[in-house]
Amino acid sequence: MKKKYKIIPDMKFRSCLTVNPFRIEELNIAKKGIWYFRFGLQAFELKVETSDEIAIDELHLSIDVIDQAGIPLDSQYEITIFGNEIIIGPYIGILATHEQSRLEELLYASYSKYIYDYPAIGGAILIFSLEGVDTKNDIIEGFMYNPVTDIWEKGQYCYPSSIFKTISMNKELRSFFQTKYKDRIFNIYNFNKWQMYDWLSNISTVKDYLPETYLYKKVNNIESLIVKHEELYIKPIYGSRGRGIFKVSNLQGKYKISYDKNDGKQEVIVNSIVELLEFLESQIKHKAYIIQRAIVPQMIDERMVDYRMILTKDQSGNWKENGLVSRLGMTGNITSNISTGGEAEDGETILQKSFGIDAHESFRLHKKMREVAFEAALGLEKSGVHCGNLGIDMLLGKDQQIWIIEINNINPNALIMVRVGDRNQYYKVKLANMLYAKKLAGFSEEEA
Amino acid sequence: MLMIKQDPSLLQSEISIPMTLNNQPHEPVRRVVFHFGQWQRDFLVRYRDDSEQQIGLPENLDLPFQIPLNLKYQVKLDGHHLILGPVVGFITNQKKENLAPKGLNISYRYMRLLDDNGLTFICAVDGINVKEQTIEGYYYSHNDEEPWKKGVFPFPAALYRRATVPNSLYSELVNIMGDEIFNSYPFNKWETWDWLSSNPELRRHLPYTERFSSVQVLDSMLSRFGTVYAKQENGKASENLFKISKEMQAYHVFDSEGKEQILPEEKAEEFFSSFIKKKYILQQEIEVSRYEGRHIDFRMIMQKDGNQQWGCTAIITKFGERNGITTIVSDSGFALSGENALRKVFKLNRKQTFRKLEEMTSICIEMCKALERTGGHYADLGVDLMIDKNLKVWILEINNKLPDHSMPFDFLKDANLLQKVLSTPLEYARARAGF
Repeated sequence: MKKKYKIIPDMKFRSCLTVNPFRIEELNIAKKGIWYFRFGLQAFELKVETSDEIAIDELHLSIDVIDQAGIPLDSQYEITIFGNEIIIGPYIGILATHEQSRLEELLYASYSKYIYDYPAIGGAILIFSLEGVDTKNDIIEGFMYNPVTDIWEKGQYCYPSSIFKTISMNKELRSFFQTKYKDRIFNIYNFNKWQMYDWLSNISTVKDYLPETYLYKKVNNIESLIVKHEELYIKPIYGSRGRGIFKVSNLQGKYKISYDKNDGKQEVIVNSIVELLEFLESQIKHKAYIIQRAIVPQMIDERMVDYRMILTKDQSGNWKENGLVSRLGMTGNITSNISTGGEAEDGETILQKSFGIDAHESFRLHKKMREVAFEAALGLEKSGVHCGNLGIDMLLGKDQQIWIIEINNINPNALIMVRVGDRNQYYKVKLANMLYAKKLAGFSEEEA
Repeated sequence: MLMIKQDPSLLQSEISIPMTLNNQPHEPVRRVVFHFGQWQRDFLVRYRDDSEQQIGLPENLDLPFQIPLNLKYQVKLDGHHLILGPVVGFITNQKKENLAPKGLNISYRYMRLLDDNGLTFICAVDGINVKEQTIEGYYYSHNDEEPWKKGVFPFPAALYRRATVPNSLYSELVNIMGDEIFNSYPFNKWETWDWLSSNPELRRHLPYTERFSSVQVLDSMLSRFGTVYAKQENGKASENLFKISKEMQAYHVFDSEGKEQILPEEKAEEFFSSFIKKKYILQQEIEVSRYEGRHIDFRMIMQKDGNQQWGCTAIITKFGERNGITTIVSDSGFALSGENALRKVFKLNRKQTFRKLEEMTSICIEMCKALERTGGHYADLGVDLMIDKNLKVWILEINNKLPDHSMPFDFLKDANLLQKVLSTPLEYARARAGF
């Protein structure tokens, strides 16, 4: 447990930090010379003084620095020393949405859950929108958490030390944030389904777990593929929640196209490849799609079963699994997405049910799935994406072969944990995200 | 993963390794120090350019132990060190005659769930041969009808101690293996206080403790706290536990069954002399939280994982007997997950529950780290916590000798969680062994 400090405004001096002599020794900041005081991306040159009259858990900071840096005074801060810098924090930003107008509603509806365990995080936590970033003046308009009043305070603040990004954004903005933040922002790039396959299929430890996937092209490879694989999925590159997915089955000369509508499964039978292509073109229009070999999963009562594993990095920076949930589709549906009427259940329970195995065997299978998921996460990072929070969708074949179908890194929703009754696991995911941001801000776990 | 083969074409001083292991193509390693557990030997390298991933050893190595050839191993070439493993041992009994494949099958049934990954063996104290640096025991072989096989092995790279090891043997082990034994030194109740109470963060969560060295100490504790507990320094959680208070110049002593004895002051010296002789500690009474008259405490299963980091694998709430002074989960006690208990007993909302569980975890992690800074190498501890009426967390007891985690699961009935609890120390041991 790192020591926490309160910042007390000091009216007497300018550019000065005064600390209890005991702490000065302990923090190893007794040396004379130049010090910089850092809060977020801002640093201020100041001198360090010592005084017996200061309580051991207080930092007296001259008011000019407090004003310029905009340091919230109700927060509890930790200190780290890096070279000639005294860093207080963590100062973490959550980039929550594009539009400023949506911030307030999101704050209390969902983002407050990130700080349920504020004492474990500490420091200053700012929630902001892309619109609130004033790149000319290096100011962010957003909401800062006040742990004393439990209220988010609207205001203008300086740039935080690290950013947890939960939305997608364009290339210019990505470069802007990369320039400012380097590796202290995570989830900066949001890959699509094709990129995921294209990158991971080059990684030897992962490629065997990916169903063959192709980019959908107009004059097409579909003909040879449908002969080769019998059943194919055609999925939008950017889609989520199972929307816009078609399943094509080869019925020897005829082709069946199935897709989910709100009220259940739709089926169309066409008599030739030409008709098939025409149908798909009319549905797909100009959007980018992939073609994926359909894996026949182990089902339960004719319901599709897939699994979502949630991976997070925590304050140590290591990947951890935060739960395995299985999703059961509606009978006959082509996906198991819960937004189209499916159900969620505890992953191991469904592993046991669907394969008729005991808790020992499901433990083993679960472990194997976790190892595959970790390899995929490492593979994505080798491909240049800094991740901290992944939702990995997997299928299991009848032979218990593991298939990675999709990976979501735009803040995958852990709310599914609540559906299976594990509300604490849901909070743990949110806390892990914040603790990883804390690490990136320069406040890593203490060494043992 | 690769296999070991005996290769008759090799000279006594040669080892063959696959070409693919050579990570310095311009200056391939010519001689290696080969490690198998603690055993090391110097070999000349022959590279084999075959597709089979295997290490070849000469036929007549003349070793005092075996290198099981039916297992899959990992191998690491680190400079000129060639490490085969992981080689991991568990000491679980005093006498080797008490180890039997049947019993191992039951106690270590989780073994079959773990990967076929190196050598894992179980042994008894009397199977350790310090002179030869070998250990007699049973190793686990996957894919076998009878998975436990008898054998003699070198000292492992990491040793999980689950039985009492005599001091002299322990020193010999440390002499050979260094600090690769966990849990290492079995600290007692007094040492828990003595080591941890100088840490101000932890001090706040520890009940004040003194050695029961005289009746004067008892009196001063009683005047300060009203009621104190007397526990044996080396005793188990709930053995020889007494609750002592003083009213009208008489001591009231309750034993763990709730039987009361009233002692006039003049009898105190004589009565308590056995406590003083048998090394008791005195501990401040914590205002216990009760549910329907039952004592409640929390068993935190603190373990290091495959990343070699401390974490809390499970939190289990134990409910004692009605009106008892302990929480021995016996016939009339029961267990609940930590979360359910906090919501039910302490009436916390979701946010408060989550915060409290995280607080309990972080106190325990800090404590585990402090124990390692002050006293030894630990990786599997059962920590008993209590939460008082003001929701303050207290550290009651740290079970570090032979923590039996399966006991509360008899009540909790969460097979998935139990698997995780039982297998985590092995994952740690393998990581510690270098893999």
